[in-house]
Amino acid sequence: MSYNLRRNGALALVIVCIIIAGVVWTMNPISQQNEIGILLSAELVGFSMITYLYTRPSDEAISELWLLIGMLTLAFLIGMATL
Amino acid sequence: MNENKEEKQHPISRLINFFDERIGFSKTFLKPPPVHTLNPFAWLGALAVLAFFAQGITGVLMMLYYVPSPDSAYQSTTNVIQKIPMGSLLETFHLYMAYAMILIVFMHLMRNYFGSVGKKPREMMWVVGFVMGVLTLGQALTGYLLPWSVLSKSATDVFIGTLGVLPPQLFLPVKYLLTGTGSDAQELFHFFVFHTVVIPFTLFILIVLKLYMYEIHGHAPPASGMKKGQEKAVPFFWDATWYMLMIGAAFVAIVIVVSSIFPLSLPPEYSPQAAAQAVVQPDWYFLWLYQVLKFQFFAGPNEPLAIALITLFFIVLALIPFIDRKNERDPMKRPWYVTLGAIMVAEILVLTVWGYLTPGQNAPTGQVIEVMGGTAAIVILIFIMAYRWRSAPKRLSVEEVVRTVRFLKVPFENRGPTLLFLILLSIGSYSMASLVTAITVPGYSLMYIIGNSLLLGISLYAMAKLLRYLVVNYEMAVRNRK
Repeated sequence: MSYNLRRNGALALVIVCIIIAGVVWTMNPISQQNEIGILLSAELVGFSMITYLYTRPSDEAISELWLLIGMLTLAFLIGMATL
Repeated sequence: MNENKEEKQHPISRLINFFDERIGFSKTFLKPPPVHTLNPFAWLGALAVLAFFAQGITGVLMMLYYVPSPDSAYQSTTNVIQKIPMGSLLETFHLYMAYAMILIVFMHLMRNYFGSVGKKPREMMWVVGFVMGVLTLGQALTGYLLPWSVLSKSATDVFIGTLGVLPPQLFLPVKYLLTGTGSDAQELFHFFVFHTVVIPFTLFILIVLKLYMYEIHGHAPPASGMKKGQEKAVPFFWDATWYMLMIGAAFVAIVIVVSSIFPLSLPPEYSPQAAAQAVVQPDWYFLWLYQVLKFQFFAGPNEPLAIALITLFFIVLALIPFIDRKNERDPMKRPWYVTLGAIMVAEILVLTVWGYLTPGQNAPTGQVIEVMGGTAAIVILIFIMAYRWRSAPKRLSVEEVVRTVRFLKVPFENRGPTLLFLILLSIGSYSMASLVTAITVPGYSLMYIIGNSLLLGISLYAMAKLLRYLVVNYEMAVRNRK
């Protein structure tokens, strides 16, 4: 994975986080607060992945397993919030 | 060249550097940590501090709505949960973050115990950290009362009642500090002040003090020795900072998810009538202490003994760096202290589960000996095996494993001695159970105790002889086969 790809991956995650923030903005803070909480966690997972991608010293230092776990967690959380 | 380097810097880094050059924060503080610290277990203390600040922020938000008086406390808490936007999530997050903080503090304490982090010159860091751990429990205790539910009020009353076994010179000032003149209003207000001002402020001072000591002494090297390249330092900005933010975000995410999936539901409001029917049970982090107080031999006049032993346990743990003074830090070379620590963790876990499963029931002495002794025996056996296996000069070969498996056939090939062994095992077990009962339950004669002791000794001796006979026979058979 080249540096540009890593940076683009991080950028894609930033866009996902902004979209989630937009969705959270439209939700009802009393009746939908559990869903909001789950989406806020998804934001934090996204942020963790961005920092992970962006700050690894080299391509070799990136674990694809961690990326997979992060993506699965993100997908799971978004899925759970929409249920 | 330098100019080029500056041009390539990230805008955020440039902004930080701008302030840092003028304030000098990174030159006097925040030393670059060594590379071996880039693992989550090395940052448990930082996670505990993060939890502390998260508690502070959510606590202040809740304080805007909470009314610390017995007539309104419950109502204002349910009001936050039901009517305030994000209120339920806020309350639940505050509660679960407190739980997470206790867990993290306990894990931090245990990691530092097993890794001997508190050894010279970090003894005071250990002591200050231990005091912070106790204050965290105090923070949880005082916060537990604030919703004024039947469970929280009853459990707090039981706790204050337990302190009554202290000498009056100690009990009266403590009681006055905690409950004032003794009315419900005073008690709630005192707990509120402790929870929101006294303990957080003290914790904050201690965090600053510990960070100062951390800067002086640096991060402790790995307990099993520094490997090549591990001593290399990474810059605090941004390598270590991003790492902390990453694990911090993951930690907060977990707590928010759990808070969203399992929102808090408050027990009924406190009233003397409701309290009379409630089964008193403290929150999970005090269950182990609660279970100790339910031991039958600590009931009645022996209760001060329980309090004295618990206090002694805390004092010994706080002073462990001054007791275990050898320089050796490798857990593999400190079998005694590591096994003792493992017994402590196992007993706390067992007592917690036991306390949860038996609310309001006293634990008979025989059962206490069996459960506590059994747990300790299992841990000791596991650790003896683990240390022997680790210190063995070589690993088992395939041939040796096959030989071990073949050994399982021995009981079937020697049915006579095996049957005798089983009979002796039954006699030994029966005499041991009788002996435990005779020692713990009054009324049995001395002859009964001596007789059972002899029976137990003889059966154990005979079993050992039989085992030796079987092993020697097996070894001889293997040798003859060769």
